[in-house]
Amino acid sequence: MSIFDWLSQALMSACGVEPTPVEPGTVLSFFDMLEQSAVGTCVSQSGSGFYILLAFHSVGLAMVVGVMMVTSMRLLGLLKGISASALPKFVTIGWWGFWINAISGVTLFIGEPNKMWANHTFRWKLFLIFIGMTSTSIMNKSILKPAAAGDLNKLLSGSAKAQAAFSVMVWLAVIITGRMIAYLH
Amino acid sequence: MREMVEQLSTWMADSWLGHFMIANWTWPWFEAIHFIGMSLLCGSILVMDIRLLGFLRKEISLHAVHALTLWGLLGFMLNLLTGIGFLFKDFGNYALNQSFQFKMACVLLAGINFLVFWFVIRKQLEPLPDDADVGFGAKMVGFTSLLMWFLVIWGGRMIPVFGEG
Repeated sequence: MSIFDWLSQALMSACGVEPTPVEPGTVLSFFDMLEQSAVGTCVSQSGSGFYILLAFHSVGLAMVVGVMMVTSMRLLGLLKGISASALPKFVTIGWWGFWINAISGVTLFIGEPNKMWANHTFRWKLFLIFIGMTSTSIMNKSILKPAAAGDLNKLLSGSAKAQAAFSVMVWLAVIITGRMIAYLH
Repeated sequence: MREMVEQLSTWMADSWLGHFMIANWTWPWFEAIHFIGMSLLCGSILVMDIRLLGFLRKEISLHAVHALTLWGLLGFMLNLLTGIGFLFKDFGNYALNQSFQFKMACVLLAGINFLVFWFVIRKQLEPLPDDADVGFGAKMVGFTSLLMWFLVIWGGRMIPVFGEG
């Protein structure tokens, strides 16, 4: 038995699930292989495992969207008591939230990749997350870091306000599409 | 107890709000708004609590902590209003669900913690300079707040494990 087989069996045993039987000679797609892996089986069959991952996914979401909303409000002229030097640090917290979401989200995906990939709302959500994190990186590089270094005019520019408004809209759209995955197939 | 919950549940489901909640798309949109409220609340709370715990003292003024409470309250109001909607559709399942009870206990403790902040700690912070370190009491309020809101999210997500909802 390879170390991989041993780890798979240990994981499924810890989750209290059985491997899905596959007929010899069956050719599995990549998504089928993911779904029938030890991780996929644990996520889809161990009742509470799925919800524990969802809980981490919600915590990560609250971190990334929450701090980006606060950062955007500061750029829109609210919360002036937050100094420019704090804003790149908020983005770092947002990245922590993103990675919690990426890890929990990929693990959730492995539980039912065929069903999720067939859902166009899920694919929209992934696209919007990509836009959200890209726009956050651009905002951090072009506005927040220069402002933290002392160029405070960056915070007052029209570009800063436009990027902040765009960021709020994208993150709201991420939340809305995320909630609609269960309802729009 | 169960009988009383069931009677109340029937009355709530028959109300105009109960009927509104089963209309097409009301529930998904209420869920989306509930999550937007949660993000606004948690984002504000996270930044406030980081400051109360003594981090980013020079970057986040105590004045900003006060301003953030208003945004946190706005997020909480969104959650409260949408949460009432969920209850009107399915009060029986929620009221008897252990995870929902745990979530509500944590919301109550977070609420008491906020009242301690608002009526006691805030007055202690008012005369302090914006970059001042805060006392042990304020740090405890910040820590309790972070812990309680984490548990609120956790409890909310675990509701389906303990029943419907």
